[in-house]
Amino acid sequence: MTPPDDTDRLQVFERGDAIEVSPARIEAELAALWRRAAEARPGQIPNPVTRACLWNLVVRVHGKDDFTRAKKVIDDLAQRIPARTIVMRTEPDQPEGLRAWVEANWRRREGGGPASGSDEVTLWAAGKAVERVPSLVRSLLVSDAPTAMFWTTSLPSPGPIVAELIHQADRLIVDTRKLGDERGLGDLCALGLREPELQLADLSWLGISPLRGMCAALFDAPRDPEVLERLDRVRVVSNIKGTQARGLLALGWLMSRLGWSETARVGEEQGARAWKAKRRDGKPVALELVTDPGGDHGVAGLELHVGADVWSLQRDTSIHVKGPDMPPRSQPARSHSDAELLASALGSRGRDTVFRDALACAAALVQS
Amino acid sequence: MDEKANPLREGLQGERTPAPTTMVIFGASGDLTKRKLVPALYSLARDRLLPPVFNVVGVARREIPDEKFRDAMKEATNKYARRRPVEDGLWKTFSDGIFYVNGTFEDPATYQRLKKRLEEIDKDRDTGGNRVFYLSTPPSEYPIIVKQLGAAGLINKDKRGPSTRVIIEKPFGRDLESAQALNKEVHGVLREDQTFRIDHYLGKETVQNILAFRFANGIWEPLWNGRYIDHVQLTVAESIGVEGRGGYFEQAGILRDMVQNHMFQFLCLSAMEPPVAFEAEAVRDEKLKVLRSLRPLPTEPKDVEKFVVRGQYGRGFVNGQEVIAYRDEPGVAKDSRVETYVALKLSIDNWRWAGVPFYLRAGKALPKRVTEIAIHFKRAPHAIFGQALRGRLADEPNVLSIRIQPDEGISLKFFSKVPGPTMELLPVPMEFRYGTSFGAEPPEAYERLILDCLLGDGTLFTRGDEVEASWTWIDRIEKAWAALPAPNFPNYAAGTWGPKEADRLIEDDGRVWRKP
Repeated sequence: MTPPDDTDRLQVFERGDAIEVSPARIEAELAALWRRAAEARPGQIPNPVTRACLWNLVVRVHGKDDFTRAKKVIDDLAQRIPARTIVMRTEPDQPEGLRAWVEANWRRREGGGPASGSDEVTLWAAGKAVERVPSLVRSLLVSDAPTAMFWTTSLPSPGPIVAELIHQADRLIVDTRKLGDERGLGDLCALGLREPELQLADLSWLGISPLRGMCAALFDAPRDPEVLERLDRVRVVSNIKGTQARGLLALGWLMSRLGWSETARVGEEQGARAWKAKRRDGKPVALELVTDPGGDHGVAGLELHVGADVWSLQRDTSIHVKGPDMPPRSQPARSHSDAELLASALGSRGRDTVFRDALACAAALVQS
Repeated sequence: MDEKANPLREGLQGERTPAPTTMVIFGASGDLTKRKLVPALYSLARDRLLPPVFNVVGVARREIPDEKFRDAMKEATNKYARRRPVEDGLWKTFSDGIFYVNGTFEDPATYQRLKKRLEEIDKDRDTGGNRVFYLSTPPSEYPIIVKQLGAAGLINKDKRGPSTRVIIEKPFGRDLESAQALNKEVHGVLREDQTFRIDHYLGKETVQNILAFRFANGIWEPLWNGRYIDHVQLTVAESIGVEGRGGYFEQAGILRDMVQNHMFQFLCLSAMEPPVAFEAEAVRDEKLKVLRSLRPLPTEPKDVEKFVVRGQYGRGFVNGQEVIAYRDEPGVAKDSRVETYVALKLSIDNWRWAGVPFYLRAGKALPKRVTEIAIHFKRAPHAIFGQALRGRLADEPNVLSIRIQPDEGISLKFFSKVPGPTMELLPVPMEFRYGTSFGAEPPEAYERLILDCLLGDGTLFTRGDEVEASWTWIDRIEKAWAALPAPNFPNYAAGTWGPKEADRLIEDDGRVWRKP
């Protein structure tokens, strides 16, 4: 990100590359660049450009690798949802400094020309300058557009700087499988309790949405969902890189929907954890989470048992569905990129109230 | 059907997964099945919006083995699906549920074979007996098929037990009498809430957005009446001619083909009162009130021409390409009186719309393809900027235009001061475009409508009484035209905005057609 010569700035902007600007002049520089992009070139007709924004998306990254990954996700996201994205990279332990870059994320028209674009601002703050970031972010938020904070690999840590940012957010988006520690589920749950108005979205939770849909479909009419009240064993096979948050959330989802309580851990062997819980009718139900290092599907298997009857979803390249009195079938399985999940988190699924219930149960499993 | 709620469905409502179902398509060898229906079903399967078990049974005259029918459907899906090429793994799962039954629609034995096959499929694939029958045949076959389905015991009219639904393609009748007869036939074997009269325009995102725009925003409804709105223009313009469909069009004409269904639906959605809820009966009740509030045309045929103008295109150029005259199209009579253009001036006799004319126009071989609803607001009551508005701009009102196709979106035109030392004003548009704001590819109209039918949601389908109310109005025009001398056709050149008489229809009121 070297500062381009002034004469090249417009071309750099139109390519979608970053231009370093003074942190105090971010809005003014963006406005000037957009205006120039729309101006007629000598001998050409004016070039209509549309600057679009449905969300303010504040992205918190840690370190260079995380920054590179996040930028890729943001570029992909920009093709789905126009947002003013503000990427914050803070390094409090480094010598003081504050720098800013602006760029446009273009959605190209067929044939090449820019059709519409959205703003991306990158802020790098080090040392004491980190304290100036919240006020800078506040000044950059587009009015009347909702604000989402995306913490890529961590949870917002306690403290006045983060608290101020969270206070400005309508939605907090995290990815619990990248938290590094499953106890982060409990921390997120606690944050949700402290901030009851904040919408919580989790890319891991959204990643298991198709599985939840397929599992629910096993008990849709004409079948009797009453059988769910008699489940006596649930087994989840989880094999995603990172924490096993997806598997835990799948168990938490079933627990919260079926009213299971009094969870207690009954065993842990290498790669397998077991709990028992109490059903609504007071009878026991066994829960098992098996970690299979063989893949990266998230939840690779889900089994629901009532005595000898078993309903199962097993994933390889397809999802194989089996159940008593139903013919076995396979459904297509598709992986979702982080950008797809992030786009989903910015949609109506990002305010899924069931998530908080499932999260609380998943956190209870970790803590028990 | 009284059912215990599935606790795992909570929070998954957005997924809208219907119950296991078999869809039977009558007219399975037809164009609609290949171009729209099966590709739409595949796209739904790809988006995981179909139930876990879903079957398609094609019914048509020719004898074809299941496998050959599947191959034909795969080829069509590869050609027409929104997302293509088809994924082989997904197609395998999807096509395992595709079957074919041959037979003529008049023959009771066809339905007995179909019944037996459906029972086998239900048993083998655990479909539970839920069925959707899709009538994608010539309209003359609709009453026959409905009657035969009833006679063969393929319709469960009882609300308990497996669901049976029937989708009927447009046109639903060709006049009031035939529509009433078809409704009578349908209601003989089906409940109204089992009947889904499809108008694919209602599945378009922008059309659905009319309701969201009007009723989810507090700012428009206070302005949405005769106090602030001067008039409304509805345009359905096609740049193509009849392009080989002359035989069909000779039986229809644009009044039946466009106005009775699509345009009257736009009119209803634009003019209706707020429904108590976004649900089928509430929405359709309000739409029906609009149709019933339309001011009747004069009884004298000659006077009808003061409100309705018809036209037929002659030779001309559209987008630089020569277009032959309608009467030179194959299958069209050399002295055809069939209209390819119609413009109407309607009045809605209720409190909201008293004094607000609705101008509708639809035509073929017009300069461009565009469908839009334009709300023309009244001008500012006192023109303090008279000198600042130049020429005809002085007469330009604020216009809210809802573009249904192409380049779907909404724009509001208002005046702004031109930067500079003088008070010069120019109209500027404030625009919302789907393509700009939402990156997601919108589903095809048929995807949305088929999914709604599978879920039993009739909000975006037309109810029987709506259809009859619209035909009542169209019939009056057709009868007046039949009583008048032959029109002087062709009266507009392909590639122009219609006949001069249509301009006069609106200009006599001191207004002009938009050039969208």
